[in-house]
Amino acid sequence: MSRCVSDRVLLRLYIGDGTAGQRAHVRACVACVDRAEQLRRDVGRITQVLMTMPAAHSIRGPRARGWLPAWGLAGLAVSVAVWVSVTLWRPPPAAPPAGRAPDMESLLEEISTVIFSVSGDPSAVTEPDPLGQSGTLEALDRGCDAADWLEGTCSGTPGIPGATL
Amino acid sequence: MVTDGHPVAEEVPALGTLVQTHAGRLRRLCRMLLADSQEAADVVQEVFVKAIEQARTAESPRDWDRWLTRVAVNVCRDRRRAGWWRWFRRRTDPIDEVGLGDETLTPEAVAMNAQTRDRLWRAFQALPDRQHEVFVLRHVEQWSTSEVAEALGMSAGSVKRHLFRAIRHLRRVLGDA
Repeated sequence: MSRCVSDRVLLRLYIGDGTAGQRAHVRACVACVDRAEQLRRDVGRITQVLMTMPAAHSIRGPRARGWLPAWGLAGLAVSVAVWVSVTLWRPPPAAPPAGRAPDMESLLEEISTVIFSVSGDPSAVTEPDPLGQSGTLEALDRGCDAADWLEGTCSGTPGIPGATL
Repeated sequence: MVTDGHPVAEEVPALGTLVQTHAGRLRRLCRMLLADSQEAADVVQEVFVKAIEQARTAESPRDWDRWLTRVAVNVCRDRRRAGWWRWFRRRTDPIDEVGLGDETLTPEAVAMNAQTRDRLWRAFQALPDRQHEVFVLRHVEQWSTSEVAEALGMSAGSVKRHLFRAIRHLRRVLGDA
């Protein structure tokens, strides 16, 4: 019994494969003969059944409902497209009308005035003095000479506006 | 019968006999491969048109049986592979179909319940094209392995491999019933 061939080998023998030894065993072994006969009967039954087509609706039931997933996916895609267009997508901002441009210009001018004013007073605007020239120029206006600068009574640096000793 | 100005009946004198002899068998074969009676009838018609053309243009095949079967299998394969055909099949489900009149079921097949038969049919339809063709030619048409191999343009080993897989799968379905 232990030498009996597997179902796989039995099927191989049935379709014409297998070794001579396996074939000889199946011919001699009562159990294997029965199994081979059962295989032959099964194939015969399968062939007989397949030669008669059953009712179309019964073999096509699952396929007939094949449109369900397709329509479901299509509906989902449309829903996503609508959601994206409504919530995420925004139209580009419209260009401001031409009449508002001067307003913006005056606003920017006002802001710049406040930034460069003294103590936040827009009326006390001073020009920026990045080199510190204002002290030197004032001293020259007051008539400072070199000795005054050496004594420190004048601010600034002679000849080098804005510089201090 | 005149087609394109040529008297076909004179060139293919056995055409009527050919149709009478092979139409039923080819229709059954095509129905097994396509699972659709209307499509099978169309294919059979196409096969006979090809037979007429063959008889006109070249020397007639020595074995019309084999030639017609081979052409039918090829046409069925072409139809199955065409995407439009699947779409068409889904759109035009016939209400009901019955077996061919010349089929006689064995007592065992009759005893098999309808559910098992449907499962077997579905399993058979789900097989790959080659397994379909090999099983039909080998077990329904009763061709030898070498004849199937020659008709399908494959080696005998490939035929056996396809047949092995087809039978194993269908037998499992039968066993699960």
